Amino acid sequence: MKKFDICIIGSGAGGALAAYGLQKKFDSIAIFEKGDWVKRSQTPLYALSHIYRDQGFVSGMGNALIGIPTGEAIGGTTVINSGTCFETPKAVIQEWKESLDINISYEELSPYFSKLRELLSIQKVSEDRISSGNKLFREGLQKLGFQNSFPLDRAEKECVGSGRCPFVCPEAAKQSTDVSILPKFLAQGGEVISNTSITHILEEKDKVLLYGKTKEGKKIKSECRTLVIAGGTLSSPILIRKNRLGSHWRKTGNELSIHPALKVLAQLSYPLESWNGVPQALGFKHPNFPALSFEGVFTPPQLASIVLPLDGKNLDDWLQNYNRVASFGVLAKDTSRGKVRSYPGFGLWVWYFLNQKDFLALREGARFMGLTYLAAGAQKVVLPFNGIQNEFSNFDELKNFNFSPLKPSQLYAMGFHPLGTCGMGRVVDDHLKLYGSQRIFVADGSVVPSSLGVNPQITIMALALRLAEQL
Amino acid sequence: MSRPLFFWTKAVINKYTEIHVAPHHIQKVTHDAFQIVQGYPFKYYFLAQVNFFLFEFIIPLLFGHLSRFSRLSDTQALHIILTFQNTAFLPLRLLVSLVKIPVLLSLRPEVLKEAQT
Repeated sequence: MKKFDICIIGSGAGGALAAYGLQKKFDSIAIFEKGDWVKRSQTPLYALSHIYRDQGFVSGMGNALIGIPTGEAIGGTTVINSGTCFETPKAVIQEWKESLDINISYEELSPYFSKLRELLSIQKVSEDRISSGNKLFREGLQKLGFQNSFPLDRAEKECVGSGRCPFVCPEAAKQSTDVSILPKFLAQGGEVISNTSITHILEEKDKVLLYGKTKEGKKIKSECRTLVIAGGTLSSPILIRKNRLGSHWRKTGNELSIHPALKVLAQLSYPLESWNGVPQALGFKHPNFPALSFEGVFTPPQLASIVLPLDGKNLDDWLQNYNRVASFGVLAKDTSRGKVRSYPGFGLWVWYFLNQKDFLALREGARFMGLTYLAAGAQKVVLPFNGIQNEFSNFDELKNFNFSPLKPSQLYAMGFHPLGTCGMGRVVDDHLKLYGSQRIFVADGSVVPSSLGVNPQITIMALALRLAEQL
Repeated sequence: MSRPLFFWTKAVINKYTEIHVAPHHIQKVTHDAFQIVQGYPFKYYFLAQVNFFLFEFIIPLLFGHLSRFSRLSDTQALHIILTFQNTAFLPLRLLVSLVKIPVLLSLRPEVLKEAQT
């Protein structure tokens, strides 16, 4: 049995940064990670089937089917995210204080944001690397009278615009934690134990015991003085529930928010090759839709067929002309909530019900994206709806189209940022310690107690660095 | 060793491939699609096999066809696919997604029927 000062479960945004921060104070730290180091020279399809949890099948089920992609590799979901970076919105921190009595201020997190800028080489996407599909959307916005699109901040170094950030950056330019943090952690003597799942946890008075198994089925046992659970919003609550850790384990898994998102594709009369450049380069906030964030997005050609809400000749037409396709996405700061459970024989199950407010905002956000591309000169657009007209080539027709019969179940939606299943103030305290526990902390998206409305990786990382400093 | 696929799974995948793909590319596309199903996590592999069974033997009956799905014409088969895809009833959309995903992930623009004309 191996003994460590600190054991960390998970190597994503929370786990890796907690390990990095704790290394200044503790000698022996081990990260346990279920996945393996990623291979960078593979196709997007390989990434989908080997790096995505359950090959991308994980979905929120309720009144809609919402895919929730999460990574299962060293680096966690940072390996398959778009690399965008946002500080925690001040309004959200205020909301935590007022509604949830969480004692964290923007000023307290600010030094960690600065540290992360340096560690992850966060910078704005330069004009020359913005993908053509994003630029086209900006043209459309300008024609509609909006001048306030902005280049996004991203964690990247020497990015050459491979255009496939969510399917493992082939150049290691995206600063996922396996590229930016874990090599430093290893160089300082830290240990990353890959291909190993922790299944059982026992907290004793003076130690925590971990039991698990390797990919090959070999059983392992470890002991540590302090445990940090950072398995991600979908896994950490399952582990805490299963092992009845702390005093509030019955509350884990609830209050899930996911940032439900939609994507609109546009077909132009000329080649765009939107896969060249940074696909998630521009952002936009619409003054009439404060809960929505619009961001560039593009699916590589190899996976284009699964994101089109079409079939038959219509699908074939879009696929054959994919070099003329642009796309943009919208995500909602959701007020809907779901829950995460594990059922015998099936495993992870995510319940999520999209409420009317979020649904209507997303529906109108999709309409707006379609209108923007049509204003920019697109021949036609396809909206992510089924069972109702979804292809439009006329601006006024789309503007006036009656979408009121549409239901949440007819959306082609994704949820990119699961958060909140072990929320601060509910399952863990302000310092991320599990209520009722002396030695177990949580540091991943699950502790973020409400929907942020922006990519949460910087928030998760800042909270993990803060935890490391306070431990 | 790869997992076995039941004959109905292969038949439905083959039929859906025929709807989109030019004849001389069908073998390659179906081969890739079979591998995708075989490589699914077990619970999805199992669900997919049950789902393909329903599609091959039961669902055509609900549409008034006394035939297996794989023996329908392209038009009839596509009609079933589109009906399921366009429904607001989520379970049916799930069923059709499980049929489509392995083939869609194996498609390349150059193998499409329309690309050959």
